[in-house]
Amino acid sequence: MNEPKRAFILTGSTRGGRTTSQSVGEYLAERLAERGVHSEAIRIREALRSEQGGADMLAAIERADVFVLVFPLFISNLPAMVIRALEIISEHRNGDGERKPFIAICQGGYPEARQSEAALAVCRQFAREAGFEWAGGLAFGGGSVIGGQPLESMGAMTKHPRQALDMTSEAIARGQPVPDQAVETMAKLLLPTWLILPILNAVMVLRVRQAGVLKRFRARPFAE
Amino acid sequence: MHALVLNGARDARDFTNEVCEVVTSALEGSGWETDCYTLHEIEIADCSGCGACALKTPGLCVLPDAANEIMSKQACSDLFVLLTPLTFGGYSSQLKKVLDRTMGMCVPIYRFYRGELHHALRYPHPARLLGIGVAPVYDEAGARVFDLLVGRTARNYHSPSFASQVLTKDRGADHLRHAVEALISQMKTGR
Repeated sequence: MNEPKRAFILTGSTRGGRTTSQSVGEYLAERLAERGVHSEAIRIREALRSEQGGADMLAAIERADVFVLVFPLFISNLPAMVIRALEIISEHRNGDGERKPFIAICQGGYPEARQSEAALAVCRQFAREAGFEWAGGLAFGGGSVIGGQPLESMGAMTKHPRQALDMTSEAIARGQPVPDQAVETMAKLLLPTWLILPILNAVMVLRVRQAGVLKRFRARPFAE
Repeated sequence: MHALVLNGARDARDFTNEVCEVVTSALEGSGWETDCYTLHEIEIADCSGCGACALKTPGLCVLPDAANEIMSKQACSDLFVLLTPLTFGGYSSQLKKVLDRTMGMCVPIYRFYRGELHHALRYPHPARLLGIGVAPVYDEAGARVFDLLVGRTARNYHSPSFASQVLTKDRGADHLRHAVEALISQMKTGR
């Protein structure tokens, strides 16, 4: 892969407002800018809202030297909206076009990054079928904790994703694929999962109580 | 024995629809009571990630379309069949739009399941999972991705067992029917 000048970042957040995928995309864009790579970002909701949105997304890919997808993990996979966008891109390219590098970054709600393995495998297969050059996939868990805040503002909580994105931006700027070290760093957990479990559940019980559904959050509306 | 089939064909011309007919016919022939949803014919919105199914109306989606009806069938199914045109080795967006809307099948509490943290189940008897990918020709890489993805989906739904297979148009109708019948037979041994 040649040293790129322009990156396109497709943010796969399905909801409005600030999102974790957006935080990740913005952090990467800032690090790329420091290394002389200009980024253009589009949110998937905008890309799919109208024909013009789709055309803008396809044009942005054509303009870019490298294509980065950042998305949340939904049921071990890419959200439907993201798959729809990839279907549009693949159909448009029809396996032809310039073999630009494609990088996928997945953030999941569960702590273990390996829960994103199938989603990243789908991304890799997309690259193969749509005529992109697979330049690597990154994943981290516990993304919901970030909740759309800037990664730098969260201190040690986002240490590993930031280190991994620093390494990735450097590799992109040099025209290299995602380094293995970045993949490993991003997947690192701050705490062991046996300790994360009670913390996560305490947070969820608090949220359930605040939402006023503590007595019925286990309801079974479709029980026979 | 109740089976829920989700047909993720892209449109009416998709060969996946023909496979769906073979699948539902084989299921019914084997004694399964079957509900089948052809998703491209049904208006179903994308999940907005609002979290209401966990924190506002537990177990129910607040969007007014067929997703709640499909979840109600899933809750009482013994077999959950995901039928899809193989899309980058995975599910079509038509199929995935419904799966994204089934987050209400879990409660917002975590537990260890097969060595990983997952949400606890809302209903006590998860269905077995059968993933069938449909492709014009066989592609080993795509089939490997599909098996990985179906296995991961099965973990999410805590399915007691799962099977996946990629079926191709080029092998002919007889091969297709035999392959489907073998798959159904494999899934018939109860929970």
